[in-house]
Amino acid sequence: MAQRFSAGAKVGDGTGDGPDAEAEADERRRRAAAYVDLWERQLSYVAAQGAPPIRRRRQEKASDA
Amino acid sequence: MTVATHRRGEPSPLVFHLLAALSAYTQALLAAPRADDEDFPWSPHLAAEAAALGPGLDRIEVAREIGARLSATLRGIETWQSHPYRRAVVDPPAIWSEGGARLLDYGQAPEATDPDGPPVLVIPSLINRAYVLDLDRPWSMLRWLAAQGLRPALLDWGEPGRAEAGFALDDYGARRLEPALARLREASGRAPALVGYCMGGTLAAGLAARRPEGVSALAVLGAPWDFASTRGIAGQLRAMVRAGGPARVERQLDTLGEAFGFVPVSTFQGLFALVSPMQATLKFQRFARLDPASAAARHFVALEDWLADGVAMPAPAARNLLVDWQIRNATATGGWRFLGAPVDPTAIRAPTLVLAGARDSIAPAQLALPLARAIPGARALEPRTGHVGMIVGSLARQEVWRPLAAFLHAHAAPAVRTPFPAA
Repeated sequence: MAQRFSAGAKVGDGTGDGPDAEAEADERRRRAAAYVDLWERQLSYVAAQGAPPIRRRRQEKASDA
Repeated sequence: MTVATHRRGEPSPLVFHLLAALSAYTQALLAAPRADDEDFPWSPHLAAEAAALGPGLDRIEVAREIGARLSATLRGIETWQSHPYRRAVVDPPAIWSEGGARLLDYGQAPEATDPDGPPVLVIPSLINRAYVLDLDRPWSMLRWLAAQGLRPALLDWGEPGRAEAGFALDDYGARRLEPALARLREASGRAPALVGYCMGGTLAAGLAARRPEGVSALAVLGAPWDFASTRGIAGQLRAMVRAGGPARVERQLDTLGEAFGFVPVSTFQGLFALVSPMQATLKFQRFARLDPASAAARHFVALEDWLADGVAMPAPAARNLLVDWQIRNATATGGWRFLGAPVDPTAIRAPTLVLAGARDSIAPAQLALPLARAIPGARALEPRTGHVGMIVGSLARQEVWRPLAAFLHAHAAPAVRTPFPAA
């Protein structure tokens, strides 16, 4: 669940971009906030549980190929 | 922004917290273009949500979001520093004291309903102040237990001074813990139960194992016991020090002790920060969203004040804790000598309750639950709390305080007319 902090000026307010551009800008902001949320949760998980096994996944992929 | 004159310092170590946040968020910004890549090392439970983000994150928006969060962190810190809340709790009478330590009798607190109720010796950690167990109304576990007809007595270790210089954990056991237990037994006329929190729980288990005849029941809350785990940052740090040998850490602790007289509190605050680098950043962001006048904000400030109010530790005790326990795992391997002999948890005869918070990052379940497995007949509960939340969190009353009170009543020693002689 994304937790938005940024208020930010709304794209589309008086710029002539129109409501579609405003909705797209909102969506970009929502996705950015969701991504930062995920990043924070990832770091908390890594602190408590350890890093995900990057090397093994890469090795598996190489062996699949 | 004016810092409240009664506020102590800052979220320590502030520089570490800010650098950790900057570093973590910079990585987030750099990694954003690959966030939905199937090779991106998201932890398994986050992978589906990451894939749903879709391609082409707008890095400008990510940067703007990060900037807003960093601003919120700083705003939260400033709000805490200028908050007018001040703990105003009057300690109950002390029925014993020695050096910096006092035994506070909550059976004489205004909330107590039975001053002659079952006595409970409550043993806190040595690292932080004891008053987290009596933080403020309504977040006082001790006053709540007293209101349930029990007679809790808090062993407040106090600030180590001249009397405690050079104390090892065994000295705290023999010269503080045992006399306090004897005094409570004398005052109440029956064998007390022991309740230990954090490393106070580990010490309580040591006391119950070494003096099983004088203890009616044992309850430990968030008490680490088996440090074998290499999980997470804390586990990796332990593994790293083990691999290199602990001699260097011992020398550093001795040097700190020689330089300052004690191992300073900043050492412990630094270690806590290291094992959960983003915790401070995120909690101050959450705080920034609260109404400063709300009860939740006051609760946050009370806890932060407590966290900032740590105490130093004599170097030998710090060596016991950080090297003998954490690195050598002496507690779980039979190598911990306490009160004159090795501690054997199978020697504990008292009914035992082990509470291990499911979200505890200081004494996680893999460190705490092995004690329940080592003590014959011990019962384990896993409340849905963190380490501090176990004592003062929103779920504490329901998931910790209530089962604890029920356990203590169920296993109270019968009252006797003739008091035990003083030890």
